[in-house]
Amino acid sequence: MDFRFDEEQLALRDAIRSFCKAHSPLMSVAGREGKPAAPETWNALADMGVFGLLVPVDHGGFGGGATCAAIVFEELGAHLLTGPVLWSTIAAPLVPEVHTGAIRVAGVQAVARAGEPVVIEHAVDSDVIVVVYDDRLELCAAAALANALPGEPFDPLTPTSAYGELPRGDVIGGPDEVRRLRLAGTVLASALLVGAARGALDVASSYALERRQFGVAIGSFQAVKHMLADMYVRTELARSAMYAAAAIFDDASADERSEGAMTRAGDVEKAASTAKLLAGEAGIANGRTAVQVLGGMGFTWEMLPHYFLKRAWVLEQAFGTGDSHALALADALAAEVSAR
Amino acid sequence: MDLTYSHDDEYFRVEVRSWLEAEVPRHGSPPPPGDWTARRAYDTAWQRKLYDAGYAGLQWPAAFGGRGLPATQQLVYLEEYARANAPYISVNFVGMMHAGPTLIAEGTDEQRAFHLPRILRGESVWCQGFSEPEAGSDLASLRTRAVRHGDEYVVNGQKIWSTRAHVADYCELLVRTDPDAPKHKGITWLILDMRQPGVEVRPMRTIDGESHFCEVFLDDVRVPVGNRVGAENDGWRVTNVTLRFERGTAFAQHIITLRSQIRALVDLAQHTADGIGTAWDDRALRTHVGRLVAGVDALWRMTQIGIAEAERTGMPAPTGSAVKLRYSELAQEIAELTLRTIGRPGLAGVAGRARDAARDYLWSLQYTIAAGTSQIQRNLIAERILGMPR
Repeated sequence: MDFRFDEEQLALRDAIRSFCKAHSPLMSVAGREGKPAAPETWNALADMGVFGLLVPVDHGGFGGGATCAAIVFEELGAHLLTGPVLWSTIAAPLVPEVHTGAIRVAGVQAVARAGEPVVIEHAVDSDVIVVVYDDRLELCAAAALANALPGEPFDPLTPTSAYGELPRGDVIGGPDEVRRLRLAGTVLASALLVGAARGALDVASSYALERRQFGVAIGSFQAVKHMLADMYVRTELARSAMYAAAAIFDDASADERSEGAMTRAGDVEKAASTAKLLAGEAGIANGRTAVQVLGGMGFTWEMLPHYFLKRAWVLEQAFGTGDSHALALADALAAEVSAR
Repeated sequence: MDLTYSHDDEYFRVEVRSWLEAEVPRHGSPPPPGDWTARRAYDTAWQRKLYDAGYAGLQWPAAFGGRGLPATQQLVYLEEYARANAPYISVNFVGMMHAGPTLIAEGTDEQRAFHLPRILRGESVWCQGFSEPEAGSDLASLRTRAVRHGDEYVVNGQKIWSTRAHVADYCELLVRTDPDAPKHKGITWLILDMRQPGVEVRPMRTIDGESHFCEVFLDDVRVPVGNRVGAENDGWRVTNVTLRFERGTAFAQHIITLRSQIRALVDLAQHTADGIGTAWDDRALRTHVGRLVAGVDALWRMTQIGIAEAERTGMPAPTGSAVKLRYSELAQEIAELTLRTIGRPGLAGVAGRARDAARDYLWSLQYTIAAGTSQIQRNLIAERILGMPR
């Protein structure tokens, strides 16, 4: 058992951090509103191997696994990177040419109730859409979507649109692929949320050190300190759960390759639910607290907190809400208790 | 990153599990609350069994009578300990988790040779003499005075919140030896023999009706200079060694018992009739329980990471305050939700689950106060980790 990142993982984190600072600086985030990811940024991500993180090396991928992917996605989340990075990365093992950066992928869970609109992030800046049904994955061209319903995205950095119906697509996977894609999506959405929670904390902490009232930095007031401390605790708790889930995911994947040996590190479904639930709470609560710490300025469009808050809501609604994961965890525990 | 236990760890698990499965039922149930003499006998007899079987001081270095096991095996042990519902460490807590580790780090050879084996064998019980009526969160402002006369200190003052002091043999006592120095620089750490003239212990009745805590009055109490741990006026530094244990690994066993408390809550809800079904049919309750499950699981992960980090660096992980803060809140939430699920029988203290739930709820209110209030923990996090001005 070893919870440390190895040297390669630390190097990967440093590389992706430098990349984000160069290609997605927070100070110029307003300039990226409503736009697709810049082609040079997308290609650079592909060159760094980001879209191939979950693609095995012998299939031309990077093969880093979920732990490396989580390290990358935490940084992408902290820097509010734009573009359909999450779905492209988790779909890359199933859709050719994604890991090279040639194809951008959006994705959506098919809605259970007829008549309810289907909401898709990045449908307008992707080439293909992966539709997740309970028993299969379908792939369709983004161009096959009907016109979007009129509306405006909640998160200015995540083009999001609603559609009356989904086109039929080609089946690219069965129940096993559905399960694996959902788990990978849950873990990496958690990583983005942990990054967003950390980003919101960084913004709030810097402001609390700079902003002076009553002759002192507002960070010297206990009322402000305690809000910041809670942000820190939420972030660290979610991060611990998220990296545990990523490591268990990798462990489970290794076991699947060795034909069904029991995974020893823990239950991957429960670990993913735990991570997503806590990361969603941390992302939203930290975004909201950052607004409060910045006070009136935090309520303006000009400052950063609202971007983190809005991005957190987008991710909270992806791959299962906190409540749905909470119910799953409670039901799993109840089954264990009854069985005793 | 690798979260799997090694084969050695799993082998150790099998060994621990089979020992606990045999010995825990044999040790019987703890005495009724309030009977502290019986509780001391029960707890120290269990400590002796742990010692004889080689499970006392797993994390203590082998040179001091422990087993010096790697962190992973300590975690395995704690997991199995909770699974077996083995006796709470109770009266042995201060000795095993605070005083022992402090003596290992800062004590003299004589102090170690005398006290460490007694602590390990369950022969001596320790309490803590830190807080005072006027020195709570601001511990360094403590005023209990020690004046040196030859090879003795003469101590006068009052301590408060000394857990289980009424059954303790020794006390880790903080005293002021230099009243003119800045408050952190005039404190000394002494080993106080509780069984001597001038030491008066008065149990305090707390809101749960129990008496876990005591006031300790010290009236011309004589402490040999040989009982000083660390240099004179260097007690604050020595104390921080102890406090770091309190905020680090010492919570691990508490956290793991939260899991069994949640299981008990689920079992309770499944067996509590509500309308045509049970309390467990309530979606809001299940959602709440699911959030608690996630919170406790993440806290355990954070603890594992902290313990592994502490083993590597030799220093407790900086997340100790965060663990303490979240643990306290989760423990209170679980106790409150359990009492809510019990409902009106809790008001009558109906013997069994209802009475336990009422007591546990009231007891749980101390979690966010003891060992550094939640407000102090938040200050520490904001100042020491996030760099906010003091």
